Amino acid sequence: MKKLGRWLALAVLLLGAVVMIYPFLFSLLAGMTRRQEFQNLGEMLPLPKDPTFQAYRSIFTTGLIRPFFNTLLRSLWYAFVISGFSVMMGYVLSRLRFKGRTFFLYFIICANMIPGVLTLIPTYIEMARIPFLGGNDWTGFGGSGLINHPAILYVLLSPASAVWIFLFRQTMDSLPRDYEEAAYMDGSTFMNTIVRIIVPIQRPIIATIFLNMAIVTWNDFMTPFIYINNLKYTTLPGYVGTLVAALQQVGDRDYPQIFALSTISVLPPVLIFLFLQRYIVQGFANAGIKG
Amino acid sequence: MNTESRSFWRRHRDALIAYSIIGPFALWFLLTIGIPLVAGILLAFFKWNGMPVMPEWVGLRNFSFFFNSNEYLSSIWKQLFIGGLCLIFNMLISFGLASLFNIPIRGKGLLRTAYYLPNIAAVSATVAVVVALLIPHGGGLNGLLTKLGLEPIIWSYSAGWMIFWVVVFYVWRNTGPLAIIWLAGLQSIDPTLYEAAKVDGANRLQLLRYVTLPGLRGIAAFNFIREIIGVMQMYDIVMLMTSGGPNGSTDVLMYRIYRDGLKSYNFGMAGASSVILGLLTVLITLVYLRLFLKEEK
Repeated sequence: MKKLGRWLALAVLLLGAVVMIYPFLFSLLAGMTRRQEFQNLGEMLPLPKDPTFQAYRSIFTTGLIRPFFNTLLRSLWYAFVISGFSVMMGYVLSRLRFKGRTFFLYFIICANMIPGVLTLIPTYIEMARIPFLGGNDWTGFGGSGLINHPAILYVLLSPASAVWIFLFRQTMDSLPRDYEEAAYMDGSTFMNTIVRIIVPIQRPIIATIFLNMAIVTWNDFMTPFIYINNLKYTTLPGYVGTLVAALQQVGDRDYPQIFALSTISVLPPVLIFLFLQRYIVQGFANAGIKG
Repeated sequence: MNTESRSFWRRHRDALIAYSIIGPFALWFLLTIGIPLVAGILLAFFKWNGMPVMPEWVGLRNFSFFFNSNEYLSSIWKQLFIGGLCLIFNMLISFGLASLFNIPIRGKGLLRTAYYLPNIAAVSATVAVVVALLIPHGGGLNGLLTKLGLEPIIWSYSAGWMIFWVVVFYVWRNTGPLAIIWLAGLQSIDPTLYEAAKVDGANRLQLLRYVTLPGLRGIAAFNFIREIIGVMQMYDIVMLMTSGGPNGSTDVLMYRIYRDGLKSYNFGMAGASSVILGLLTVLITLVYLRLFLKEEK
């Protein structure tokens, strides 16, 4: 009886896993079909009769390599900056005593819960009307500000990033002070202690923050979708978003192209996940338990 | 450096270090989240289309327009309805998955990877698969239906089916990570509690009701709040899969806010709708917490 239950559980989980993987396989294969072929295929699995890599190759020929590197650069930027802030602020909020400490702690917790709906439109207006940038005069009019400006991919802050600061503080709270105190005794400065003592000890949690931030940023197609209308400045998932949104309108459809780009844009985060998932998943579960 | 300033530094060392680290982050937060937050609430009381003229103060007229307009009211209902479906199915399925993962079986690690994978891929890149499967002529699903001898369905004409596919995609993408959190919760429950309850003669259902669920209360609150905030502002899937159709049946309020603000520059209505949706989100969260805290006493 118990054994039967186990087999049943395994069967259900396997079936579900197939459903989970299926769209990736679909996308990979559909990218190898030809345009006319795909539109009339009518198969759940679009096996190409005569596989072509033309759509995959188009990333090198149609200037899409630049969006690819934009995505990469943007992911690295947010991964570095948010991990940096998380370590420094988490440390400060856990170890130092100063006026306003409790306030900042509550602030960090609340920030994480700000519904994004409240800031979507006003942030757009603020970025469009920012003075002296993108052709704007001092009143903020005359140009388009940071709309369609490459910098927009690097200046916005997501309220959800605050959760990582909180998580690092929790991890600091459960670490004994002995290590740092020994370092301070030996005359180590504040920064030196963080870089030489704290960062090495907390490497797993920092990896969690870094990888999660990188993947979330990579997948954020909404920011480029909303703010950028230029192939040179957009990101790969952002560009795929515009292509998919265009499917809702009447017009020419190039499905193999969309699926080839989808597959390429999915590949880097998936590879990182497959090799480093213990950091990503563990940190995620911890955020749940401690949060 | 004289002794006075040195002792000032020493006395306030902690605070100075703390402020110099928190300061830049707080400034960044203020500029990109704080100001828009306040501006967004103010926007709700003005009429403005983004032109370089003074926004016109209209008081509560945007709000009264909202509550007198069937379109806006039905948008908020659609957000609640579609969001609610997403939330309920995601919660149930992820909880079921976590229970299955809690059974000792071989190859679990690999399976867990598979379930987490959808969340690692961008929405824009994966939603295309559903869009392509739903093509009326030559799409995968209708091909399958024809092969099974059934009538093909024009999916995009049917509100029910499009809502179904939005929910399917949402659950597909979000259920794995949620299951991982549930699983962490299940594994943090003290096994001796189960033993004790079994000694007292509790059956399976009673174990779930009196041991598992109370033990998961904290995790459940975390998951619910996360999901409530998530589904109340969900519009990316709708935008890419149905663009609000057919006949506006999936036109959730958040998508309307997006269009009001960024397509038709009706900033006043976008602001008022945002405030209403934001307040509703907070309200639902508070009601949940209230119920949840009450039970704890």
